[in-house]
Amino acid sequence: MLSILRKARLKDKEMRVLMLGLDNAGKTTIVKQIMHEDVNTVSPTLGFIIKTIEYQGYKLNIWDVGGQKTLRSYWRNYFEKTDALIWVVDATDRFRLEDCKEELHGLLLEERLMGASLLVFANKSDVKGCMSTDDIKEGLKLDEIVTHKWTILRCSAMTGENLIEGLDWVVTDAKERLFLY
Amino acid sequence: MDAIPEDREIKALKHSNPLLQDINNRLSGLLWDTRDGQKKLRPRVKIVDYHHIIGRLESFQEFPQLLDPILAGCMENLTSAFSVYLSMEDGESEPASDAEDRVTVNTLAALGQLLYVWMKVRGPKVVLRFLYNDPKWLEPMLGVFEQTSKLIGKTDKSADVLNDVVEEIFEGAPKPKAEDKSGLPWHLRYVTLMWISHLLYTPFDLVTIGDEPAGKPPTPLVKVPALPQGTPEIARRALNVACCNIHSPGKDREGASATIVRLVVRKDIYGCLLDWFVDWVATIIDLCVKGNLREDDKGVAYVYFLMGLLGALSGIFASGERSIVGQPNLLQKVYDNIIRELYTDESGLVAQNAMLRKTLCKLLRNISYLYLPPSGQGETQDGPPEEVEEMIDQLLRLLDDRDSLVRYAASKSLSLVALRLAAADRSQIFEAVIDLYDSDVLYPNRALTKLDPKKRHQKDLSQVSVHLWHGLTLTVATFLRFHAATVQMLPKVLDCIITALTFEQRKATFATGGNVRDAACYAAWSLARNYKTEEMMAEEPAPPHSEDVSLPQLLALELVDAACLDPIGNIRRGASAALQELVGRHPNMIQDGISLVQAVDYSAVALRSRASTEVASKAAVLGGACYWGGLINGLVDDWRGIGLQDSVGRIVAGKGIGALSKIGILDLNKRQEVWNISKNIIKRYGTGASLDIEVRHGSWYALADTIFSLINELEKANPKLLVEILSEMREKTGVFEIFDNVKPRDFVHPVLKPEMTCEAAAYLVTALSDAAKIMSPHIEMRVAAMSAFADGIFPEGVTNEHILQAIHKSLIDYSVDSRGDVGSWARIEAIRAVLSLHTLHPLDIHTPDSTSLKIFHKIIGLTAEKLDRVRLKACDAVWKLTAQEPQWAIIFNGITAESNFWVNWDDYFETTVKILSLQSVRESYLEGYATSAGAGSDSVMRSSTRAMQKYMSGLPPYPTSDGGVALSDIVQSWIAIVEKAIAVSDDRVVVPALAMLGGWFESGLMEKLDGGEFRFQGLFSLTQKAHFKSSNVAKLSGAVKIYNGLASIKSTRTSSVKKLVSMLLHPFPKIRTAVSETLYLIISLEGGQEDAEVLLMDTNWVDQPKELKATVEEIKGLLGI
Repeated sequence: MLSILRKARLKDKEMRVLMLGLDNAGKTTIVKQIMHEDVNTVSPTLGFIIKTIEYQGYKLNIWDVGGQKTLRSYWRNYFEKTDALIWVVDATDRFRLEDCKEELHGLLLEERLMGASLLVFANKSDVKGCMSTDDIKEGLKLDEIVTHKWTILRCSAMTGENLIEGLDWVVTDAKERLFLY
Repeated sequence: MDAIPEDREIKALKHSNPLLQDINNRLSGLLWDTRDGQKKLRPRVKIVDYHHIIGRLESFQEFPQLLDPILAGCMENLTSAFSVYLSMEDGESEPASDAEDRVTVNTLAALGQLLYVWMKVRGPKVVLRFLYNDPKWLEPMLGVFEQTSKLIGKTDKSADVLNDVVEEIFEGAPKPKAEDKSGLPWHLRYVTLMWISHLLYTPFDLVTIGDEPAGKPPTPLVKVPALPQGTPEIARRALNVACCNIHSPGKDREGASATIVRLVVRKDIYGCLLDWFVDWVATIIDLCVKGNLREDDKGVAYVYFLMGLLGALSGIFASGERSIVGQPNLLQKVYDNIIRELYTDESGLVAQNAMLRKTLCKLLRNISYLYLPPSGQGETQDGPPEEVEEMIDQLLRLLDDRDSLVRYAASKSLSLVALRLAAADRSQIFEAVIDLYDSDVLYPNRALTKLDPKKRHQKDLSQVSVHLWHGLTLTVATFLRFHAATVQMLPKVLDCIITALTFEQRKATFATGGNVRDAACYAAWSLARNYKTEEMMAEEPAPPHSEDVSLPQLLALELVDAACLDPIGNIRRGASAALQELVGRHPNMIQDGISLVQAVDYSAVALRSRASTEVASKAAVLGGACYWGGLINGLVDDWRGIGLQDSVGRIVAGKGIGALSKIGILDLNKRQEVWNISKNIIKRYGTGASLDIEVRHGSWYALADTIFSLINELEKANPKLLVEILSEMREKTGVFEIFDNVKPRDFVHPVLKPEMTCEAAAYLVTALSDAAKIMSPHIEMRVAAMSAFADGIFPEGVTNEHILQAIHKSLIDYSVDSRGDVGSWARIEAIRAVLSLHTLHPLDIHTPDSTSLKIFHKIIGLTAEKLDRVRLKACDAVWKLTAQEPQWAIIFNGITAESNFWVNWDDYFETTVKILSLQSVRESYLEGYATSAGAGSDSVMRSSTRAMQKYMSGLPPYPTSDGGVALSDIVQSWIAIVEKAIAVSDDRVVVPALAMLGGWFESGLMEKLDGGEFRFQGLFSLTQKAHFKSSNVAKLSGAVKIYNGLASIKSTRTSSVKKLVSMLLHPFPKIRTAVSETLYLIISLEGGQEDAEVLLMDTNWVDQPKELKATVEEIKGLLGI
């Protein structure tokens, strides 16, 4: 069974993407924006929601995990492991940048997430006075990450800025890593 | 069954880098010689290095993608080496010397195997992309077969060496016959043929590549029909080479098929060969499917020959252009002359070979495609053509194949063909699949019986085909994945999935159905993933399921059960994954879904023992306890619980029931449900002819664990509640009478698996006696349990830890109630049990720390018991247990069953006290002695004290060279017992023990130790500790006696007197008086303290202590302390 499913996933170019970050970072809004759903009716996510986004012939199964829950249960199951991580940062929230760093670095130590690439979304770029990507890169100590391939993009879930570019990065990375041949 | 640990994959990923580097580095060294600064291909390679690389590659079999970083580099090495070898001039491949023969192999042969292993691990399609595709290599590749002797010496043994290797490494790889072929190892043949097929993709006409006939073409064993005029020479050569291998039982046959496929579908070739090939296949079908021959006159097995041809045929129709291979005439010819014959299978050849049927499934799919319009180009108006319907019918039939690989292939083909059909036709097929679930299902006769609605839908699946259910469930999963079921069908589909999730069929010695449940998890997952919440909520569950529960919730209930309870680890994981998908895709549809997913997590369910206890407990309290009932009943009723075929599984299920019962009673207010379940458990195993011994084993464990888990939870926290619950359980379930129906032969008759019954009985007896002890009126239960053992329910030679533990506990049962020392009944029965056990299986009284040794020691202690019955029984036991022990002969010397010893207490104690001479049991005896020293009838007390003192007075103060026991040994042991008893404040021992010590001082025994190693100071501190803040008069009196004795010892004289003086102010008048008398005696014996003597004599020590203070100060002054 497992082998059939794994083969099918490879054929359908399916990926499991884990979307994480502190609460109120805008994870659900990003998913909704990408799927062209109404972004004005987002309430805090309890637990997790799975959505599939089709992009460039790839099926991205996005696991949008509620802010406060960075629980191991979602990191893999029998059928799939996590292929990519999207870490969403609220670029207006200077206060909790330190917390955010701790969480992220703790997460990357997890064995179950080995081999997954990391995209950091600096969300809410449309808000005036938000932090720059350099600020965030510095604040999250991204340069210290050597265990995972990573990049950072500023984006806005409200305007849609850079969201597609983010997906692009995830898919391109997957092409090089997961669907090489 | 536990699932494999999850970290294997992680480990592979973590450690893959060095392994990959190693493969990469060694490969270059293996193939190329760079000593002269020039890169030269080695003609032969070292076997050792070569094996090393193969082994490393093999280790990636499960994680092939990890190889990708080195894939390109390695392929470059392998392909260039291959081509260099082929380009070498004649004579460069000198024959190997004998010595070389053993440590090296021919490089070309080795390259063949290396490429083969890459293809096997990483997949042939991926590897082929790296092979040269320049058509100039076509001729040299053909040369591998046509000019073998130029490439590999005739006497070369590489093929044998490699084939041997292969046999070790790859199971099932067929070994070619020795006289067969050209000395080429099969891997090399396979790889070369695959390469040739790859080269045949060349867009250039084959005529332009070369048109020379082969010099010395090999002759195929099979009869190849004459090729049509005008077939290009290269095509002839390629076909010839392929035909040499098309009937091979090994993998090389697949290479041959691939070559034929690529050749026949070529634009410049199909004109010559397509019809020719189809006719050839039809001829062979005629021979072997219609005829009865199994091999031809040259010994070619038709089964492989046909497999090769059909493989090629299927490939041709799969990859040929529609305009070429889709011509109606050709299709019809294939269908009538080949496919129909395969259905009929007159000779039974197809029925006998799974690979053939698998190939057939593929062929049917590829032909069906061509009968139908190309995908995405309109739909057929009036249903699919008749041929397609027939093929679908065949595929449905193949879902029931006895070989799983055929079922997989049939299910895949069926789903893929269905996808090409119009939506209406597609759902028709799906309905057919769903309807097939009903074949051979037996329902109760609804007309005759008045059944409750639940039972009316109860399905009897004992007659259905496991194979069919597997095939169907696989197909359902695939269909759901393609969203091919209509919403109206979902209730029916869900019912199928749920039934499949709990599918099990018992065979004589094993259970089947794991594959059905595995597929059901996949189907559940597909349903959750590919249907929208609105779709799932649009319909209500079909009977027998309650309409009040939504479809997703119904599925969740079943998935929780499967994830916690299924005996197979991967099914638990599959169910957990499906549950995750269900909760994540349908937010807020599942009760407490989020917490559920966290509890029933991938790694938590890996171990069965954890899944059905801890994980089930966590899930049981969620969602308003809606999961509790399914879980506990699953453990009770189902094949997943106490009725499992393996005993370990039943024990785990018992634990699970215990845990869930406890939660039910204490947290979920479900006492009545639990009692009903317990009653069911008792009823379940049946009686008489219907008795199920396995189920009884599981049932007893379940009941015992229910009791144990309640005791563990409540014994300390809320004993009152515990007693209440246990009493209610006793009343409502009848568990305490459970052994009433058990026959003695159940424990001895070999056919009735007595060892299993005994093990479970012992466990349950322990639980019941623990429970009985807590509900103390039920001492009778414990006694009854022990009597059961004593009366010989032990089967031949069976003892186990549970039994021994239970006995041990009963030996130290000192329960007292209004009737007195009722614990003594248990003690006696326990001793009897030991003896009963001993007659069948001598008790091990030598292994340190064993329970049996502990039992022996306790019985020795009981020989000094206060109660006559117990004491005699114990002594009888010791006498019998030690009959074969030489060192015990001194003690029971001359004693027979009729001896006076058994009735005369003086005799008895004078004999038994000699046990003290045995160092290994001394302390045990003294412990027993201490326990009963202060009690018992006067005559017994006197006899025992007298015997002890008499014995001790005959001992030397300190050990002598003869190694015998000394007075100091006994005193030390005694003190050790006092220390132990003080530590746990066991006054039952401390009080008489102190009195005993006081007595030894009085009789002058202790004085003998003065001036030796014995530390009286230590005894002084111990005595102080013993009565510290105590209000026990007896204890205090004992202490005073000891101080008295210690005062006559030089080293402790001052401290003892000081202590006694301070005790003159003790709050108890009785103590003050006793102390004053003691002090008087001490002082008067010492002399010279007349003033103090007078004061001690004349003071009224019954007065209030504060009035005595001045006097005591005065005495202190007089005594100079």
